[in-house]
Amino acid sequence: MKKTQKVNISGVVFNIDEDAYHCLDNYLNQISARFANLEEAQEIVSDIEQRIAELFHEKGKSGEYIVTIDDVNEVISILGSPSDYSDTDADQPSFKRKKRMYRDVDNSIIAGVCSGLGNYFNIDISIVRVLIVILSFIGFGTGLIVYGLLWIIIPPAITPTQKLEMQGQEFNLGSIEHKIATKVNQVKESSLFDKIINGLGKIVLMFGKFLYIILRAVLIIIGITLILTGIAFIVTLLVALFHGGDIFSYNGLPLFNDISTVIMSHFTSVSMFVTLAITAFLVVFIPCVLIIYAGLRIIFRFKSSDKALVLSSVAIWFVAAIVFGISVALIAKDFARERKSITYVDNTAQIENLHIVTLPLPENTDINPHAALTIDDFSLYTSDDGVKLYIEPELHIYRANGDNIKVEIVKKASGATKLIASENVERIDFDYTLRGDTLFLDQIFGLKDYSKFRGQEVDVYVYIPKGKGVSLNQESYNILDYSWSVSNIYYNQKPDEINIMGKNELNEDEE
Amino acid sequence: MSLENTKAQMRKGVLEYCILSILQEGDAYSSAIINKLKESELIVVEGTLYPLLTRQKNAGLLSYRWEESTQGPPRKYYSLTDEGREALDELDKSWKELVDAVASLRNEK
Repeated sequence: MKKTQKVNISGVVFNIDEDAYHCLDNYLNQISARFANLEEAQEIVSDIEQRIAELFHEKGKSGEYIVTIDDVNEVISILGSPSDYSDTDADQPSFKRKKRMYRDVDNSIIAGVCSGLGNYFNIDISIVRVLIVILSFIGFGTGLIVYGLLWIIIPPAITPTQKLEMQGQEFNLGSIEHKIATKVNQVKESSLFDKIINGLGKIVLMFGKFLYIILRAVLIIIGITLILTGIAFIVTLLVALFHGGDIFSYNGLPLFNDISTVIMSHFTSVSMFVTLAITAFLVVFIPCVLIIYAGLRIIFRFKSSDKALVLSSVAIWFVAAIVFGISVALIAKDFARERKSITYVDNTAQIENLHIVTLPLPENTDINPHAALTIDDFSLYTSDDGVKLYIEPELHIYRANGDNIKVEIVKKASGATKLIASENVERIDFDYTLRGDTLFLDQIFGLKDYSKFRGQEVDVYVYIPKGKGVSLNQESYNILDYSWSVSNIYYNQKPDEINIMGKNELNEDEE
Repeated sequence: MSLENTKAQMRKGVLEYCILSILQEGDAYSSAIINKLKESELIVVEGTLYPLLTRQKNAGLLSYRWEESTQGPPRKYYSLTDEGREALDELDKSWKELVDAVASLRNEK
């Protein structure tokens, strides 16, 4: 049973078997290709088609008759094979193709790597083979590894075009046809030397295939690792972006939400924050995608013109990295200069035992006593009108050198210039009062005039001479900074009890 | 240069001359020209001829007209143009010269 179809050749309709049709179609295509570079190609081919129609017709066989493959072959023998259409006047287009490295699978013992190398470098194939064998024995298998790698890297020459490219031959229709013809009639000529090599080769072949499988497996494992690494990074990145608060602060504060932008507005402008976030995202995200892509390529070995893609992503990465760097530098610039002011609290000389009372957040304040975000000693508190930045002061207690209790309030801030830094110091809204022998401190301080965070700090230094005492309420313990002098009370907090300064530290044991 | 190539070159030059000669005796369609050339064993396969005919036509040596055929598709009838006739006269001369030249060379031996 054969499929038959109708064809229109030069205006005459014929029934033609499917195989006959393919044969004829192929023939006409080859002829068209022959004349492709001539202006009159169209005309010549239509003349030939017309002749074909005439020949079919001459058999009196149009209409019901079905053209078979034999009929087509007969017509081709009358008209001549494509190579008979020689036309020496018309130079065929011939391109000197660049010589390319292929595995010569027609002359292969294992995979045609050696013959391919021989072709490429114009060296006798046997020499290449001997070199590889020597390398394998003397070089502790280096030859085998090199061979395996080349097997994977170098593509085989399969099409006639590739075979010509492999040999660096001139490239035109004639040479391709010649290549096809010689392939058909090819008889392998082999010398005794080749036969010995061939026998060895068969053994090596088995080993080579085994090695190849192992190499592929290793590459696939590397590929999978790359993909998983990339995915892991991206997942981490996304989690950090949208649930970062869950990880980095105890109240849960995603990076991309209203509060986070308000928070960031205390540090820099919102647009700068968004720029930072986007560029940081790209700087991490693009390498992840490229890693995954590399992994996929290794595993599936697909070919694609990915040069533009990779280059553009690398370009975007560089731009993002540069913008990120500039943004960070701009923010860092606002922290370039530091200024501080030191104030001594008056009337502390007569005090025998100093009571330090850090005032808890007032009951009627609009500040939520739980910080939304706490990093080191500054905290962000939510209040009814949004998020406000409040910073905890630090309390330091040392042994005094003299005989009197001394209290020192140090305010610090940074700025782009010394002047701005000084202004930032002025805007620190920290209150303290000494009433009798009690020092009242604010538990947190804010910044006036909606100042941005510029490293503002308040340090309260309390110097207690030997024999005099100090008591701290619970809130004061919260802001107490660890030092050698307070080591006895830092962990064993006893609120409101008086601690007497010993030789070096508070509540020192008598020896 | 191979012998085959030389032969092909010789045949090709003569072929153009022969086409013009055949058409001198009267208009003919391509199959008829082919048949005559085949009879005189100048060509083996027909494909060779079509590019030649087309080129001669484009060079103004030949013209053609379509004629309906009782059998099968319409046919291209080729005829010699005035230019073609002039070309044929020139080729006649050079052919004679060639034949004489070869003959005299061969006889000298």
